[in-house]
Amino acid sequence: MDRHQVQRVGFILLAVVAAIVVIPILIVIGIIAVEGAGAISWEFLTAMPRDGMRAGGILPAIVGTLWLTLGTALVAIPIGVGGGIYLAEYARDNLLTRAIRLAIINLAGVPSVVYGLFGLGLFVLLFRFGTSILAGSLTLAIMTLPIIISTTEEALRAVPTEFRTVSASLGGTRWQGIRRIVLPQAMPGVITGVLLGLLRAAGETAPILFTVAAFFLPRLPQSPFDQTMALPYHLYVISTQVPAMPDEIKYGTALVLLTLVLSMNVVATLIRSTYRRRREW
Amino acid sequence: MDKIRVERLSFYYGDKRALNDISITIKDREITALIGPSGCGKSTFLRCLDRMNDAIPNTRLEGKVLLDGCDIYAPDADVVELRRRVGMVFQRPNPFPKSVYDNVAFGPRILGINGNRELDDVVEQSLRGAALWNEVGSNLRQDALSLSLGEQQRLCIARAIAVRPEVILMDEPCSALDPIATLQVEELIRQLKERYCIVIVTHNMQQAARVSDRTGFFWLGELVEFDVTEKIFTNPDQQLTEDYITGRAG
Repeated sequence: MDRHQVQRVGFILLAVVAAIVVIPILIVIGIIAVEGAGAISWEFLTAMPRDGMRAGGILPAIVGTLWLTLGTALVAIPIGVGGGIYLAEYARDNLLTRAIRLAIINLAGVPSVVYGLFGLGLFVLLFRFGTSILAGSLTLAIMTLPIIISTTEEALRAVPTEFRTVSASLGGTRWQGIRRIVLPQAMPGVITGVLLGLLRAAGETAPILFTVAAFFLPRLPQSPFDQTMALPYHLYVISTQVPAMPDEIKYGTALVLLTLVLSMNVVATLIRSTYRRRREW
Repeated sequence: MDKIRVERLSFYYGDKRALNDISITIKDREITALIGPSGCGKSTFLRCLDRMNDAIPNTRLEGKVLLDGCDIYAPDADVVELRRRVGMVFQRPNPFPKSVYDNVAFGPRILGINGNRELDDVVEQSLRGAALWNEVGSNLRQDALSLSLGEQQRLCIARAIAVRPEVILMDEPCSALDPIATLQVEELIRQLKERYCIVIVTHNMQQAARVSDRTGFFWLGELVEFDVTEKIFTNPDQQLTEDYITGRAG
């Protein structure tokens, strides 16, 4: 084989590998879309569940997931972005900060059920928040923090040092340099990290299992201290715990969750590409 | 008038001494050129004048740098205000990826100038001061990175003078530019001398001869000779200086 043939074979192998990754995902999405489309109706999206969840809609689960995601965002974004800024811009490189970084990386790999049990112990029992949106949001926020912190830190580090130097040479304080030039340049990366973290939180079941999710609660939450249904847990419940559940409703619920998460993903991609067109160095 | 007085300055990177016992007086409204081969310490010296070396870990400085008689390394010295008074133009043109206007307005905004009229005035004055107004004045919203390299460097000079500094340090400001852009920047530097104290590091000896009033020759971390430019280039006291400018050393 000459080197051109080697190259061709290499490309073909890579294409096959890529297909192995992509095709199953497309099949899964395709099946869910086809099987679930029939269930989607105005009633399905806006009504309470009836008949032991075998009919009616999934509104409380949708609303619950939106509330949980919002609560997670309110806690995780300021702390996560702030922590990322601290690690990238202020923290000295010493044993302590290395340990912190290592801990963050490891936290990102902790199974989500562990976060769920942690949230149960700390927020539900010790802080007496009960099973509530508050406890669930805090648990999801803690799970999301490592992702937001490390993507924020990486995005800031990717901004050339020169910008900080120039800002300092003009009489800017360190914070002014960060606020006015470094952070704006890093924004696409930060936003991507935040959205990826949040959409992971939106789709998780285990962390909300013990901290907030209600099996069946056909009303909308009134305060942060209420329990609520949530899409991922609802999907788990109707798929495994309810006998004689119509398949269409299971697929329909999965389709709603998938659409919610994927649309956030698309938003993240759009934001990133809009920003990217505006920056060059 | 003396603007900067450096007394017995030594600078270390770890154990390695990069500057050895430098004393020099730099006058206001003059252009002082620092020449010497790569690695002779001239850029390190320049960065000592606005404490840009502070951020480099594991470095140490001895001696004094007096700006208008005040030690800029004194414990109570305000580094941020020092850098407002002492501006810097870097080797590679490095405008922010923002509009021409936002680049020039960056410094004034940091200093708390927010009124539109006031900012417009500062931007125009600074661009005129950097001989760039005629080229970009009609389109201040254009991306700074769409300018030519020479224009970008003059924009960086405009950005530096927008905070009304007293001293401008230039670290080989023309080394990334073509000959025509270089001449434009040199012409600009000569104009700026009317209002600022300018220190320029260059490894282009013709440039030092063309623009500067005084020239200092650095060699292996030492200031070998410092005198009126004409004397340095025609009749230096030191043999080493003569060898370097005639191309026999370096």
